[in-house]
Amino acid sequence: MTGSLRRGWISRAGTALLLLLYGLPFLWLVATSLKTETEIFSNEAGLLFQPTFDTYRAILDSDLLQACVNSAIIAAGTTALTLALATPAAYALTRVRGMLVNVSLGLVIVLQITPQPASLIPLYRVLGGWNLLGTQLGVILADSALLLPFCVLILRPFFLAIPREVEEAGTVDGASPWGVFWRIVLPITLNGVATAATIIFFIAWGEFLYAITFLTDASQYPISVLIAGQIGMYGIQWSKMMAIAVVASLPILAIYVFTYRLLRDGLALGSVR
Amino acid sequence: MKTSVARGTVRRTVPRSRRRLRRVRAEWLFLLPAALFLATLAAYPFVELVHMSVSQVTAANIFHDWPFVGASGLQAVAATADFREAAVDTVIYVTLVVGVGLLGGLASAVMLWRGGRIAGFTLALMVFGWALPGLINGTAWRFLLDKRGMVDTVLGLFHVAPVYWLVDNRLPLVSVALVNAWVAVPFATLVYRAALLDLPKDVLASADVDGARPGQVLRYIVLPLLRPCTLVLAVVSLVYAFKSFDFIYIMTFGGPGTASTTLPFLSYRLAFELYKYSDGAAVALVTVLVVLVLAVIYIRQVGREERG
Repeated sequence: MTGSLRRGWISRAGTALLLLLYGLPFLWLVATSLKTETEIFSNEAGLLFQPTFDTYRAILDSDLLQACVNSAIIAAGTTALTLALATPAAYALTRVRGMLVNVSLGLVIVLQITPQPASLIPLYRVLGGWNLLGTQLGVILADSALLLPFCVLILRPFFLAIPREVEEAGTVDGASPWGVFWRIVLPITLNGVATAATIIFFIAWGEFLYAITFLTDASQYPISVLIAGQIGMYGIQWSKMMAIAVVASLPILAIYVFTYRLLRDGLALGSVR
Repeated sequence: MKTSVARGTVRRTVPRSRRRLRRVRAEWLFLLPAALFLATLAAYPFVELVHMSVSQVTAANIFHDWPFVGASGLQAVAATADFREAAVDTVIYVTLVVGVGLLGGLASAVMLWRGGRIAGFTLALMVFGWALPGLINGTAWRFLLDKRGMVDTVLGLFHVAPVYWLVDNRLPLVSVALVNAWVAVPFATLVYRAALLDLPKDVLASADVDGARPGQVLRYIVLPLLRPCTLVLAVVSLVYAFKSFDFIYIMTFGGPGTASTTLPFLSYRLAFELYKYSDGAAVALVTVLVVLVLAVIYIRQVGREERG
């Protein structure tokens, strides 16, 4: 079947090129974190050098661990809150027709495309009014508001794929709308929920603009703020930066290993069908 | 057809009007928490943004009342050279991200189509690049594009003089856009991959029997069938590229000077570097209005896909 298009030398060469394009940067990133600052400057080293864990020993202190814990709190909190709100909403938006749905979906999309900095000042005022500035709860609320529209858009195709008959059967059996959603619909859309949860967690883990603006105490900073905060300074210590970046990537890699198949099959859903 | 049959069965057990009432109420309740949450933390900020763009807001009165100035502020900002330059930068940036993202995604999906272990691993590696936050990718690429970084080192093996990727002229804008495209390609690959796997097998098989060359299969069979999915993907990428902020913040902070300042970033700089809050809001609003037009296209497109 279309054998020559799929098995020709172009396909092999292209795959090799992609491996280089996406593999080499990660290799280089890890390699740099295992070098000394002098080795990076000498520039000859490339990928052949004597690896050292000195940089990791230097950065792995209680502050960095605290930052990882903070990141976990913010990312997990955002994921939980976003999904709790988005799942029923996305379901409702696939089950009703008419103006309300169109208006809601339109609003969701407008909010989804508003650039993040545009909401920075108003959110500062809102969170300030609730005394939530300088708290991680404030950042969780802001992150959830940022990601909720996106989450609805990821989840919607999964609910659209469920045949109505499944639910009608539940209604006939006397289940309440909530019962139908909770006991019938949700169990068969767990893949979709897991896909959305993974993506929301990843984005919340890397969010830095709200965190850097709304948090005041350095002990509350997530690891993303540690990275973003250093980037503007003169004379960045690259080995240190790359080591922190590797540490920040590890939790994502750990989750990714388990959720890759879900992401691979779930992400394309909205755009293809 | 199937749904109407099912509905008919239900109508016999529950009176139609009562049933419909219950349905509507239930859906409201399902939407309500998200709607209230978004109204306070997303829609209200948006209204404030509009308010700010037609008022005079400075560092002195940001937490007090804002005097109303009308649309004159909006017009004044849109007439500045900074705005025009940022608009041009945005067009270049968005074109590169969408163009390279889509073409790269299509090419990658076709290359990896044959499947197998190596192709599977390559795809997983690419999607991992997509899954990493922009912050981490941006930081990594800022170093890779440094004169001591990977790109110039590899080019040096071929005796190419160091290119100052993030320093010279328009090059920083192009560099950041290409890094953004590097992240956009895996997503497009996933979407195209799903579409390729969905292609009617008998059509592809008969093309083989007829002895079509790979180029012909691609041009006359595969590409036309991928058209609907390309349209949706194009708008999704367009919106994504338009609001892109992290990569510019991390890699160049809009610089050198204003060389890589796109509209969302100009809005950020006006508000948070120069404390011209109204101007920042006005630029953000114009950005949103432009994207709003794109959103309408998106909704209509998705609607057509769902019906068709």
